[in-house]
Amino acid sequence: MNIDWVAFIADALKMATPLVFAALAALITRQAGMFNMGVEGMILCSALGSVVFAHFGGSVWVGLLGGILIGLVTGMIIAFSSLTGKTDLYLTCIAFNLMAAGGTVFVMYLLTGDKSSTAGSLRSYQIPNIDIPLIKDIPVLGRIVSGQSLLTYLAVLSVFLVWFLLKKTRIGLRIRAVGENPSAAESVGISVPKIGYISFAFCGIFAGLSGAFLSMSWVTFFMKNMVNGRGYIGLSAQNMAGGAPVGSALASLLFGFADSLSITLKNQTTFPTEFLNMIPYLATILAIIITSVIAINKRRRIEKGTAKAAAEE
Amino acid sequence: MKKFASILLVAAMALSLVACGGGDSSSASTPAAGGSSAAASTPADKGGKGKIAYIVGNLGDKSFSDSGEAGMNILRGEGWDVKTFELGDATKADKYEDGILDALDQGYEYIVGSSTYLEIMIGLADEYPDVKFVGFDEKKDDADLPENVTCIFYAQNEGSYLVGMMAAAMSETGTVAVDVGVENPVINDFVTGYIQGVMDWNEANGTDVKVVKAAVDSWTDPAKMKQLCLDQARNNKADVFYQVAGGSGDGLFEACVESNTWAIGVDSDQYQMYKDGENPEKADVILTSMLKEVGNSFVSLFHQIEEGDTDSIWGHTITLGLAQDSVGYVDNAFFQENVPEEVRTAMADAAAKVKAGELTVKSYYDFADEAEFNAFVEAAK
Repeated sequence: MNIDWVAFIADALKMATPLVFAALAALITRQAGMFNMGVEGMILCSALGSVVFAHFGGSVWVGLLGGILIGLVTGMIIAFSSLTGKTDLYLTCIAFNLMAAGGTVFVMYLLTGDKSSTAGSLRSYQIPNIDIPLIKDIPVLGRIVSGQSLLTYLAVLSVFLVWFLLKKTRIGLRIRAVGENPSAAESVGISVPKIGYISFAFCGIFAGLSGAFLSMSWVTFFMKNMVNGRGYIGLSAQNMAGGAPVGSALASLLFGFADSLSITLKNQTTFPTEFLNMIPYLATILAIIITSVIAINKRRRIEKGTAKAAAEE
Repeated sequence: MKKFASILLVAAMALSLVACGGGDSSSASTPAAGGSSAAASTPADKGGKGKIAYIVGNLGDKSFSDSGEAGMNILRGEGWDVKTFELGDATKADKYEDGILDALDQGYEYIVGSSTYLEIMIGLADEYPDVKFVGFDEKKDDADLPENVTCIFYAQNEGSYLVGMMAAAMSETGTVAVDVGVENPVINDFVTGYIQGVMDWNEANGTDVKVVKAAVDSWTDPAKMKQLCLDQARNNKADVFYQVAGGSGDGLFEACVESNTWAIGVDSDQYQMYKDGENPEKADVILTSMLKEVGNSFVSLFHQIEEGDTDSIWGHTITLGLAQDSVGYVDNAFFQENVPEEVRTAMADAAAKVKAGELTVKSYYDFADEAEFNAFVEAAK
């Protein structure tokens, strides 16, 4: 066995990128009090949007903007039906994901005549990989940190931008206020639906970036169903971290590693592949159990403390 | 406003039906195939040729189902009344039987469906003794087949054997790969033939080329497939990749472009598919493709039926291999340019030997059980 572990880590970062974006997308709506399962379908639509815009616009950047635009539009569709139409968000998201699965194939068929993938029918564009000067010459670190996709760096940056947005800006405070207690927020003059729309807009941008990464960086075409649950994984990553940006990114990274590990083990060992495919999901369940146990303990300690304080009075 | 949610749900379902089941209308509205639309509207002037229902998941896969459709188009041109029924992917599995019953209700005399639908067809065979059922890409003991059912089985191991020889010959690193979508008996038969081809090449030429095999466990996850292949190129030093992975295979070709290695396509001529498309430069890694001529097999089957020579058909499994030109490999200019002549000759010789019955290629169906197959795969690693 002769495994290149440095490249393995670099790959895990790459594989975590769409998950980080998906987690950030889900996180912002969660902070506004909405559990958005529609991320999966939004990413799928954006992945198709990216390649279509890139092909007809003739540039990778048009594609990237197109992917973000489709993310925004799909976010607005869910927001409209849930906030203005007052539908049940879960049902809307399920319906939306089903619609995205069929609708993307339908649109692909209309535009290209293909029902499976755009590999042959739409020109491939790739978001460039960036070699960072100086850092790329550092032995081990250079191979991990340098040479990643532009979007991978943007993902890292986005984690801190989202943290800044939520903790340090007025709009972030409002989003969190609506999430904590919508009636209280409304009583001080915050428009709950407006904040909901804004959070879905941010969600759409990140879903768009996730989709663009899948169809213009990881591979350079769209294929039906190509998200394959990565949206849901991102959703559970942010859930594990309780909606904290940095924690969600770390959880996504954990999934990226689990995914990368399952691929390497598949090639290097004789474990049954079905078992290896379970690793990321097994990691999810374990991580959720651990985080919820921690949360319960914390709550119990607080309750004990208040009970004690009450007794002392 | 629960009503709105239900409207949305209905819209979603309608859309997914349009996307997945759109084939009925599309096949009827493409008259390119020698007047099929006219044929569908006036079955009475069919001159006695039968009505065929072609049951597929989805057209547009650029391989298996489309190859069958091409064959059906030829039959349409010859005056058969063929209608294609697209029943959707595995999530619609509960509707498969309804779809086939629908075709039966419309009076189709021949029902042609892949292995996916074989069990359902066998179940219906007794109830509809006047209808003939054709299951393709599956092997069944004759004892298990009712009198009005036939199975067409393709010897994919024979075609894979030949490309396996080529892979071994073309490898500079001494490792080649075969990456599959989801493991099942037919897919394992591809793998078996390929590994046997590599091993026989080793034995004949004194080389020691290894085979690494992996499954992505999805037909539509090209991203994971690409990663898998890059990992094999890096850690196993594999430099020739054979894809038996449906849509996921497109990821394999990208990995080959990126890692500067060779690829082998499957089912149809994938070099030509890319050359004719928007990304012709991606074709330049595909040395050849293992062909599985589903469409041709339909044409020859129905010719045989037309001639009335049906004793060997109904109630039997028909195996079609190199000898029947139902499997093979693409021999195009790119192949001739890049594969040395002695390798090409060796492949042609082996093909001739298989055709003549002098050489038998190992098949997955020869293994006693799964463990024996796994040991075979492991021994090649």
